[in-house]
Amino acid sequence: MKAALTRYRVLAWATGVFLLLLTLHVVLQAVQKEPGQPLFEAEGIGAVLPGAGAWVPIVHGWLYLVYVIVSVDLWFRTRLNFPRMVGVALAGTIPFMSFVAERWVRHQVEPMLGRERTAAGTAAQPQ
Amino acid sequence: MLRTALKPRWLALLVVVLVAAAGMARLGQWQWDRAHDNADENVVARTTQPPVPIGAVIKARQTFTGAAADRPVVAVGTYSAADQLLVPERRLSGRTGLWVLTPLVLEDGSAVGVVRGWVPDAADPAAAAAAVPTGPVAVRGVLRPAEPPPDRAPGESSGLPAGQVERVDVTELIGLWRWPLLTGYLVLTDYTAAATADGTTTAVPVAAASPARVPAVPEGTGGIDLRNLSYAGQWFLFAGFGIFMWWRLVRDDHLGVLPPAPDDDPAPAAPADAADPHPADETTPHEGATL
Repeated sequence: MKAALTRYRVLAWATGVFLLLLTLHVVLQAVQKEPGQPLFEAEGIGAVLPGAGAWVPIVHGWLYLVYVIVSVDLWFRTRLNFPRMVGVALAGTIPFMSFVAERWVRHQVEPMLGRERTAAGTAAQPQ
Repeated sequence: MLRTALKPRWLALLVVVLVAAAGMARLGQWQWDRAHDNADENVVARTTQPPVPIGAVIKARQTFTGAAADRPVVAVGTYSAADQLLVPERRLSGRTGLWVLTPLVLEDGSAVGVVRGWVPDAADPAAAAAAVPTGPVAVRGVLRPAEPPPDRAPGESSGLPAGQVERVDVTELIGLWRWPLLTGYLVLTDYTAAATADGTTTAVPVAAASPARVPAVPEGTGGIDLRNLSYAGQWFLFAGFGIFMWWRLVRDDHLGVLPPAPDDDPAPAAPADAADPHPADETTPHEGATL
């Protein structure tokens, strides 16, 4: 469970950071575009970091996929409130929300880790 | 396992999962198509409208409106072969060549630049003035806004040979051509001979050498759009993952671990956990349905 939580937290941060980059990219495109020009034709973040306009959306897409998978994996192990966990998975698509979700998940799961250890300790005692 | 899977609860969930997976697969298919066909759909839609006479869309010296962009039009006039220009650094099917830009003098005395086609090099016979159709022609083509002037320091020349321009830039063409100009240009799709003043129609001018047609819809990069391809893969994976989740829930139910139980913990069915299925949720005021 501890490893699953760590995996989740790493992905939550990575997805969050890349979503912010993607948001920055779209905002820059909106600022750069000439009137009448479609949004996606503008250079976006590529103006700051050459080529980033191409790989930031791709990397965010794959990170989000892995984020959802590790979220579900964590849910199978912890059985957190299911609708809330759906919210956690969706949080990876809203800027800043994955950080909030990560905080909530950590506060939920960390006490479980404590109980897990205690339970393992008491179970070991009789032997 | 099958008996478990046939419980109404899991069958209902299976329906939901399959519907969701089908939706995701469709979205994946859509991204897959996008990845392979990266022509701008808006441009495609605009260029397939029925053609109208050019005068109904734009006249000389008028501002080029958004409605005129990519509009198929018919323009009747006569080419001025002596004023033909070439526009270098233009790509067609992955090769770099030149556009052949010829002014078409319209019946009202104004003119519009017509991109008659593409040639691989300036010496190509199709780029010669002799290859320009003579006599009145009805040109069908797609209207494009004039290209912006090249970004260059004042006084610096383009360094191009005579008869070549860097852009289809009306502000530059005004200095080279002697007619009032339309603020856009035409990309030719086809042409026919038009009736002359005395009402007779000459035969369709035989083009001894015509430049290759420039597609009305600008070509995409030609390659596969990696981002759309990537999104397509992700949608398919999400669809598969939904089905996997269903199977996993059914399996857990079958194994009797479905009210909450850590499934891979070395200490099985820790008593504290078993007695308290949702310890972590105690503090949350509204506990929703749990599976």
